[in-house]
Amino acid sequence: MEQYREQYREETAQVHAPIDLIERTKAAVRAEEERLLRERTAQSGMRQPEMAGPGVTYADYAKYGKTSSIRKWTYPLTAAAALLILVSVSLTMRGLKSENAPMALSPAFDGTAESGAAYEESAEFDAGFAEEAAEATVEMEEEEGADLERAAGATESAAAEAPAADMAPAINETQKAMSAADDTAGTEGSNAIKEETKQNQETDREEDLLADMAADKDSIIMEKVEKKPAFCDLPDTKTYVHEEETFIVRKEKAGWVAYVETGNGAGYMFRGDMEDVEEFLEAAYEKLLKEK
Amino acid sequence: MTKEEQITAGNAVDRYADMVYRLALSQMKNKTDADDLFQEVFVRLVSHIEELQSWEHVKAWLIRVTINCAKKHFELYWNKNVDYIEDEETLKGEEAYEPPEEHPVRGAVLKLPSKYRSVVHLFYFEELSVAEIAELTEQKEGTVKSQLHRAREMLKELLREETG
Repeated sequence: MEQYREQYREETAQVHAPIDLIERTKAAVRAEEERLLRERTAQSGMRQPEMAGPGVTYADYAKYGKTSSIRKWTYPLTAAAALLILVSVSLTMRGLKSENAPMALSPAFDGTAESGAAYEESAEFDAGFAEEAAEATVEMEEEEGADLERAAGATESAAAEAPAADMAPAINETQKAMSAADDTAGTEGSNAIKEETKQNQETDREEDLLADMAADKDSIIMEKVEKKPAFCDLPDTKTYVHEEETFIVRKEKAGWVAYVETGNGAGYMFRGDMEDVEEFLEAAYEKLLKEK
Repeated sequence: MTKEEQITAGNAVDRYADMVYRLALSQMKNKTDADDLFQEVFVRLVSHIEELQSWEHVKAWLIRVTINCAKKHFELYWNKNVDYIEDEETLKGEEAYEPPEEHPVRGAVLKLPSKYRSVVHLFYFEELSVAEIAELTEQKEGTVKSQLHRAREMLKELLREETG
């Protein structure tokens, strides 16, 4: 094709849009601009004095519209930011209050102090509660760490067995587990696993690229079959005619599967992981041709 | 120093008419549909021109929308449970566009499946990179490479038949 590249460029460079088509299109564009201008003026409900008058084009209005649309978003964003600040301040205050809770619970501080014994009891209760809470947190962190390790282990074993395309669900599961853990634990371990998953994804992308580059014969599997496979009778199959061959095609999780019967009665089944059915049928047909 | 041309749909027609027309013709293979597609793309541009910050953005937008509008055009004619038809232009009973005899390579490219035609045109004529083509056609880079590879193989066969 390299030898034809220059020729293709030369031939294509000789193709120009017809003048009448250009003129018709410009007229249509102007009409559309005017229509939008009228629509926006009607929506705004009042004339903009600086926009009135002859010689004002949609382009001018569009520039105004651009700044006005930015302004339109400024107020809601500012309100959202203010709300966010209020919420975080309130949460912080609540956090401070709960830290002080043992003291607040103590009768000595609410002005209804009773005996010293009562104070001591409440202080012990509070101390015990704090201790239990700390233990519970440690246990929770340990469990989450174990969960993360199990999820990472599951990802590794899945990676060893499944093809690259199937890693995406496993990685998604791991990501889901990680984000849930982050909400409560927020440990360094989860960050390390995130890095590992990111690296796995990068590796997968490279593997996908290499797999795609490897030639069509590796991306499609053809198998001669004695009888029509069972998937042909499923309701979600579709029939395609490609280059006079009739393919019964079904979309599966891992990609596409198809069945074709050639003129001499031989049946063939194809599997491929292409993005779309056109590409799959092209590759299947090429494979079939080579077989014939 | 010349003032940068204002980014408007009208100016875009002047600037990119040939580019869009060539791409439309490579997609539709039928002059009437290519003309319609050409006009549709620029009319659509009117309501999106505000979002586009530079002429480079406009160019990328035009390429992407031309390809997408061409795809939608064919989807309208397809019923999901009906046979897949290779020669799209016969659906409307329109005469297919035939390039002049002195353009054998263009003729061969027009015989490719539509998806291959667009990547071949964008790669060899518009000289876009695989990454750019992948982004514009919303595909993986590997898929684009694979399509280019297959397109080259098919073109070799077609051109060999022409000359042989």
